Amino acid sequence: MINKAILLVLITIFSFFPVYSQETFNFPVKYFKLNNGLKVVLLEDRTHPVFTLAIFFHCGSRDEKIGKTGIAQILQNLYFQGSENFKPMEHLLLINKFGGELNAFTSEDKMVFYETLPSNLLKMALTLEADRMGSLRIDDGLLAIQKEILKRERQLKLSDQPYARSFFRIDELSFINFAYSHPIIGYKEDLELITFKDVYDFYTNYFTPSNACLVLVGNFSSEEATSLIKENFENINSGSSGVPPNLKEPPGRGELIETIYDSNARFPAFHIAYPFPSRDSPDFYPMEIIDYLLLKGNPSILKKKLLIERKMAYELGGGVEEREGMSLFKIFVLCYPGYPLNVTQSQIFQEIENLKNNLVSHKEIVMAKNQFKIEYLIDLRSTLGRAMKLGEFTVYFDNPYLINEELSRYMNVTPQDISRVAKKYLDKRNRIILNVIPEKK
Amino acid sequence: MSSLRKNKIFHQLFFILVLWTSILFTFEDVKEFKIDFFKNFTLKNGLEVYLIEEKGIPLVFLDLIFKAGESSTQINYSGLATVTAEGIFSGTKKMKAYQIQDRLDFFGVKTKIKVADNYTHFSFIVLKEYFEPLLNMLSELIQESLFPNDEIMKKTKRLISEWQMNRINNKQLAFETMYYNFFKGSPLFRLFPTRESLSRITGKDCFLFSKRFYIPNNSIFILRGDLEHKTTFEILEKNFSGWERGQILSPFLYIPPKRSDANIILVDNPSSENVNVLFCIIFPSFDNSFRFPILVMNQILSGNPFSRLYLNLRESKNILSSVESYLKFFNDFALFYIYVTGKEENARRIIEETFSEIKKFSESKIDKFELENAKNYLKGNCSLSISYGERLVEILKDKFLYSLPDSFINNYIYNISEVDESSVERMVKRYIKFQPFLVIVVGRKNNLIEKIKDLGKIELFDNNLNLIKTQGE
Repeated sequence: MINKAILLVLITIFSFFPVYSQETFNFPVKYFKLNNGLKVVLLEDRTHPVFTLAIFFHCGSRDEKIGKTGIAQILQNLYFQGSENFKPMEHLLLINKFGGELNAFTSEDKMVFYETLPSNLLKMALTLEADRMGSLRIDDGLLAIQKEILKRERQLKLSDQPYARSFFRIDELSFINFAYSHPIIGYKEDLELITFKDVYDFYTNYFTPSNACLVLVGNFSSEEATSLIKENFENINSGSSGVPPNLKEPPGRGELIETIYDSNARFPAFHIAYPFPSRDSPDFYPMEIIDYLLLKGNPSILKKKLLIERKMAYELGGGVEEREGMSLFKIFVLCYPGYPLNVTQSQIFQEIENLKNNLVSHKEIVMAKNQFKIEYLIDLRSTLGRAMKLGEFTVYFDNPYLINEELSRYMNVTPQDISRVAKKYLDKRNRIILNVIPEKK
Repeated sequence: MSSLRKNKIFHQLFFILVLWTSILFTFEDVKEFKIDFFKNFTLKNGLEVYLIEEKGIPLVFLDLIFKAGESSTQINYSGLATVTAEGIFSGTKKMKAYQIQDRLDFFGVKTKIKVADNYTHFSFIVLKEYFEPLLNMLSELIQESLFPNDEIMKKTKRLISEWQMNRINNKQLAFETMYYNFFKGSPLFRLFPTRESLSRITGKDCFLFSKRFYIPNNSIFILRGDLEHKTTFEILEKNFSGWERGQILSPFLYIPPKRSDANIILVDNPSSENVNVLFCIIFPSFDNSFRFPILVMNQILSGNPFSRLYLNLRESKNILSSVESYLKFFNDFALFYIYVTGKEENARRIIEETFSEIKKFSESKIDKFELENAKNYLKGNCSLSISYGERLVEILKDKFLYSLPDSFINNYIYNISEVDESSVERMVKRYIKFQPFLVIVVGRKNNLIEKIKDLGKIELFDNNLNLIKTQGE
């Protein structure tokens, strides 16, 4: 009786401990919110004397209105142009001065600003970030400069870059909802019309503590970091948490095919896009493995067929593009002249049909998973990689602890899952094809 | 206001801001730390192993480095070290090339090979669960590769194709020319293979090269990742104890550089749209106590966004698109170069202004703030890159290649901190003040020759390193 009781106690105790395998982890994540709504995620790692600090804002190009595209990108650049206590570009210079690294990016759903520095410079990094979150300097002069820069960037990307326009067009075709159909870099005519008020409103609506997440990974003491974070950020007004736009797409649109002509292109090419759900759906994970089976793996099914065996194409690209509302699985092929595009496309569709109707072999799926896993783990190894994952999990799902188990969701994908998801989403009625034909100048 | 004038004002304001940032901000300096977080042991056959335990992520990084590179090849066989390194994946007694590749793909291993003049470096990243199978495979690849001729020919064909493409690569042309001028006739120049040398290489040559140089007592193994000392030692013993020691050849003696007496070498690259200039110099009779002051000196002159060349020529005068500089250490000398790019119309100004900056640098005192900025940048950047792992591998590799003491690694960051103004000034006087830099210009000769002809004696080369003519005095 006593032995049974002891056994029961032991089982109860151990059931609270997460199973530690190669696909789950025990990162000691700490998560809390400040009074002003700022989400804070801390992950200590004393292995090396460095840390990464990242600020995520849960907004992006999806929050722009028709006629006002490009604001998010402009604001990203303005975020380095000074604040109450720091002059334009001073943030960048200070990070560089100490051999640190910094960057920022804007996507459809999030805007992220981050730096990696030696561990004794935490106070400096937090001071810099708090200052620009709370008191960013925006004026007409700075706005005019950034608009010019963005217009030039747009010009460079589109004017004589082959296929550039097609990469924008495939998104316009894939999404009916404006939130995701327009380019992050904005439309030229919109850039002209953006006003100071537009940018200022975007900043005050979305760059607020209640719409933000601060992630800190690396060599620091949680106690000291918490105290510094409160000291620097708690006084910033909470602001609104931003009203997320409607990200729904109408169902059952059917196949869509379009052809465009590109005077900069030397060879014919095409894009194929398949919409599918985002990470909150269990179907997301098999699709990432399908990405490795079809495209990214070495060698992948399509590489073998199109590049090596039949030599129909000389470049293959694409993959999973995640968005919070709806993701896309894309395939881009740069073809050798001499093969009609529909012949190459038929080859791709045939391989996809094989994937749907024949279970992938054990060897194929293990290989795809191993290659996926090694990339995933390389990312997870760095303070920056972990900061990015923690930020995404918090901003999208309010659950940074996913970092400890997400890999296992990929590793548990079975050949049956591959077949099921391929049948459901890599379907003729669910695809968009954009052909690109070289146009004689 | 014209956009050109706006640009100039912007750059001047940027320059002032950088100075202000350097002087006024009192955030802490980068802290030093000891680099001693690795274990070191040697197997009975002389294979030296460094183990860095990083628990938590089930990955292992393997770096296997041999003290043999292109300068170990015979004359007229440049490229042999590279072909041999790639050739170990071409087949063994038990596995054909496609089987080797298949296995590596299945494990998901990421592989990188780098061959320099004095080393061959294999890097692998593997999932922990496949660490032992990979070691088992690696042991076979190193000891039992057969280098079948048909596979070797595929490799030499590809390298010849790359060599062909490099005839229009500005940076490649600049570096080949630099090596040609400093090291022609010495084994160091064999770093750059030619079509002829690659065409000579056979499977048998690779086999002999591997037998001679791929020996345990001529190599180090650096392992980082989710490993434990005792188990790793046992696995290594099991897989590599049969690997036989060999005779280590004495390193070749340094041959004094043969320099052309021209001030400027112009390499014609008709496909280039900009001008690329390489300023290079040898630091002779080098001693390791000079390493750290020279590293700091490099940072002050041109090594980071706060450096003199970057601020003065790129940000302030806006005549450069890019600046980079590098120090390459050899056994008893060092090679220092500055590589800049810019618009063709600025070619003359680029050369004159860079020389002016070098002259100012060699004649003026080192500013305290400049020194601290350079040291902080080095220490900070070093901390970051050590955390990524690659820098630690480079430091361990240098220790192995140049027989540096343990203190070189352990006190790496502290040694940077110890550098002061007087040690940097001594280095500048010793190595820069009284020696002329060689200038190599790569670009379209038809557009450039008129612009730079008055700067001194110019040797004109084509992109196959053939001298076309010499002009001017």
